[in-house]
Amino acid sequence: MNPRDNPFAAHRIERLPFRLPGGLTWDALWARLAVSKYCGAIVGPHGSGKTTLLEQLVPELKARDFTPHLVRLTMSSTAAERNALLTHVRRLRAPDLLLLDGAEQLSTREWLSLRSAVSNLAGCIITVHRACRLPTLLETVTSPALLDELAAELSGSSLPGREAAALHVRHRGNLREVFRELYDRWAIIDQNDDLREATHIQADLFLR
Amino acid sequence: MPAVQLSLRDDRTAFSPGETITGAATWYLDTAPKNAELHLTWSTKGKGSEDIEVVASVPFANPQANETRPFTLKLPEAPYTFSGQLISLDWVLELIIDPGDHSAHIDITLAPDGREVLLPRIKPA
Repeated sequence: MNPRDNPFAAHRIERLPFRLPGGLTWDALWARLAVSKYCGAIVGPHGSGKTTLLEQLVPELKARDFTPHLVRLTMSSTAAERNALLTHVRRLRAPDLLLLDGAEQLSTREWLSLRSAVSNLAGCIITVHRACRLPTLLETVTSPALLDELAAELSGSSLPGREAAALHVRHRGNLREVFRELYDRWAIIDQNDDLREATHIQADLFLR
Repeated sequence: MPAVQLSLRDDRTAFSPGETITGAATWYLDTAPKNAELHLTWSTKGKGSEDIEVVASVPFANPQANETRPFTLKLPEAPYTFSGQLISLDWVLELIIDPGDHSAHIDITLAPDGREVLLPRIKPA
């Protein structure tokens, strides 16, 4: 199996539709965004889908006549890059709307400068790991059941037994890390044809 | 209904580095688009994040609502289409029509003799 064909390849995971938590519907989320004037935070731990959700808001915002600007900050973002972000945002005006992934990477001073600049925009939606900086719009959560559902969608097979729960615990709910392990498992199984025949394990560490 | 299509001469999709691709881009739209452009892109797929680079673009000036435009594009020498243990590298020709996000694409192989390079797997000890 080539990496591009591995069901847990990154490009396949990135295309998974975001599952809204707690019975929330997309209509309810959009209503929540409108009430908040498209200003708030998506809050959640590592690997819980915050970036995925932010990215999936982009086409929907365009369809609602906003001009979304998606910016990512990471731990490796430099001061120059953060300053460039501030300079860029200061030039924007409604219907421009800022989607900032990794807002915690800004210092307090940088955040206050940004907060002032976004007052001219149609909105500002950020992602953070804990509630801060803007009111919480939505909290992203993961669960073994969610992991099982996503793994089944990717691979066509469910995880056996309590494997989803074990993986969820081992990786502390970080589904990005879980999928990296599942990528390796799938690649190893594919390589070991003899093992597969001997133990009757097919692509199916994943089949019940 | 809008339609966008790419076709390559002789339906050929395997090429050696440095070869020239010849083909045609066709679109049928309700109104003339603002932009119509052909992109030659490579991307990586596999365990890590996807890397992607547009290495060549062919803009079609003054696009009309319905037309076919021929094109030629010289391929670079590298990187080759390959698959290893962690990543695959793929090449794609993509026609993008804007506005409306209409697109069509053809996956191509760029490698010596037009054959994807398969890197040997490293068996665990």
